[in-house]
Amino acid sequence: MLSYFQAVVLGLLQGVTELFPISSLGHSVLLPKIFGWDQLAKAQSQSESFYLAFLVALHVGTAIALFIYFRKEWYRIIGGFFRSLANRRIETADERLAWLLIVATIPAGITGLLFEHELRTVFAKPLAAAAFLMVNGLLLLAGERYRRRAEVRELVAAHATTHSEAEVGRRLDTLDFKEAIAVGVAQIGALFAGISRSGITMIAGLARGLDHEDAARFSFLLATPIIFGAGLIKLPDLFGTLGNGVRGQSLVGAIAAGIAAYFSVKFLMRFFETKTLWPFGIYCLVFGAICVVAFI
Amino acid sequence: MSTAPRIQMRPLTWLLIAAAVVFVVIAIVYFVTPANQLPAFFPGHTAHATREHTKHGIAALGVAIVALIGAWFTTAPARATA
Repeated sequence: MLSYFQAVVLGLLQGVTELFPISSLGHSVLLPKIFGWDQLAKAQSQSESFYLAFLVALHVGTAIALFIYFRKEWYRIIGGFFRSLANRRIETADERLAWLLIVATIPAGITGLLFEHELRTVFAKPLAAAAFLMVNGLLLLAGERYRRRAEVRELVAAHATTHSEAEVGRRLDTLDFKEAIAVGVAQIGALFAGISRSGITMIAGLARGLDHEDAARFSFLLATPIIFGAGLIKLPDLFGTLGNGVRGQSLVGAIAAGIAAYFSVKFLMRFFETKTLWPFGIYCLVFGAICVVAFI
Repeated sequence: MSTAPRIQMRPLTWLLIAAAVVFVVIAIVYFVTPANQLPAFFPGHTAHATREHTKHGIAALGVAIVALIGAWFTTAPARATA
């Protein structure tokens, strides 16, 4: 069914690709096909399968790792949320960030609840995932070009800014709620296997004038509740009949995913202090094109 | 000495509370009604499916919670101006 070796490989893969802007869903469709694990590749697009129960555990492992990495920020954000509820006002940066994250989570949360199943069964197939991975590459490269345009620079100049080593960007808490909704709507794209959640939300953040570091921070903070929520909703699958025979592998896979996710986010937060999305865009274009040719 | 009421019910507050109640009812319908017995205008109505659309129910409940929180925020007393 699913060996412990496969569980570790897929866990590490999920932990890395969920946070690198290269689409975890796309890679979880493409790599089993490349490795010849055809049973796992087909299980992705089935309505119900043990593999989906296994993926639930990987998502929960990834979300826990993200929460641990950003734990100090989450304590402040959660505190800000309850303070603003008690005061019925949004006054501090932490309170504002809490509500920006809530507002940005709603579009993809509702769309995911309503259409995730249909989109997965239709599009989570190797050829479609490879094509969407190329689209993801193009989006990353286009997003980087757009970031350099005059209107984005004007947007940055009109707000309080942060200065990292390589660039100037808007402070995260200067985003308004319409912009947070726009980032949230962009996140809907990640329901298509091959489109990266972190990539597309980073592009949306960059387009609104955030620097790469803050765009990545907002993207990862935004990913935590939605990945965790998606895992929690499907947790009954893992403990039901679908999870029979894969619970041990799921635990091992979740630990591998958590470790990989922790080190990935640590690496990426340093990476985006000075670097851009270009390498990931080129990787997605090249790997997607190779897969399209191979699977046609 | 007059003090402003701590909770001010505005028309928008009532509107949001009404919306929340409607969405709670919709959520309950999704939780307890199989897809083939849902009203035809409900998203997820399928003639031959017998499972409940639990996820649609969770989405409706989420919207209800958002509406309730919005209603709560509209009850804040107006800020004193200098």
